[in-house]
Amino acid sequence: MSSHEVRRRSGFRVEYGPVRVIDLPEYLKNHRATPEMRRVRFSLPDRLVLIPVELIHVLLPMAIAGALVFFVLGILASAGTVAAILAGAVLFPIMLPWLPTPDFSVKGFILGGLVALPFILRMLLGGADGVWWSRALWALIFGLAMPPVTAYLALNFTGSTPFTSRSGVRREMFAYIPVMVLAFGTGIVLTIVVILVYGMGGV
Amino acid sequence: MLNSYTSNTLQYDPGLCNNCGMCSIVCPHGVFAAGERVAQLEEGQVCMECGACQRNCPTSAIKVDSGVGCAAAMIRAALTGKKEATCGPAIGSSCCSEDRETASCCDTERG
Repeated sequence: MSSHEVRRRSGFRVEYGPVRVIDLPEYLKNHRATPEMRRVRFSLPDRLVLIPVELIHVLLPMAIAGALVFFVLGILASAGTVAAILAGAVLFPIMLPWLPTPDFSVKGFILGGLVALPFILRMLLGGADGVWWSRALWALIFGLAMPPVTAYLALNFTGSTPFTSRSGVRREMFAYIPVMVLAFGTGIVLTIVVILVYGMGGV
Repeated sequence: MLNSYTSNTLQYDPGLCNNCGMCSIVCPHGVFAAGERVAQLEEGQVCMECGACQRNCPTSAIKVDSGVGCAAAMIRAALTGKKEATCGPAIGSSCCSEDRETASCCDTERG
């Protein structure tokens, strides 16, 4: 909307009102929006209402990936797949302001790493079957494959926020998507190696 | 380091400003503030490149390469070879639905 263009073409005067509906009654008293009324925020309720939208986007891919991984690798790997995706779609919007660094991808890597940690510890310290180096390899696979999934979904959340600039998002994409591909790809290659050595299932 | 949002495409020429105050009214992040003689660029770093200030500047004192800071839309544009999404009507594409005449930032899909 260009106020001077509207005025030039139609004669109407444009008023810029409040961003939030709750401020409308106050605004309508004198048709003046305070700077506070005009500011966009991204509070917890604002982010919570977006979670169902995020979930709908990932539901089908998550179900397919979870089922596929379950049949090929077993319940734990399937749980890791679902956890990494849910972390990006549900936990990330909630925790956005509390995750360190401004870059969404880095925030996502950190969150994905935290979510992967129980799986890594389960492999290293828990009662998982197999020789130590096999368990260490699985720990590495969880550590490599889960964080980039969460980070990718976190990067995709940029469009849902009211503050990321296009040039900033573009810089993020060039900086972090190669890292995501490299980490996830390495995790997949290692998984294939494990399957070739041990066969399917068991994790 | 780890902050991709330190710079943007916002450019402001105070020499062209007629101090109408529209930029400080329309900006949702308080990037501009009303000054005594010309508008003051207060927090250029938080500009989200929505382009509202540029559209409402009658003297073209503000220039910004406006667009949607949406990785999903950019990735889709890169994969399909279509034009990258932008904000506002009559540009040709909205952030999520490129077929629309009137852009609405993402009421049907992720923005």
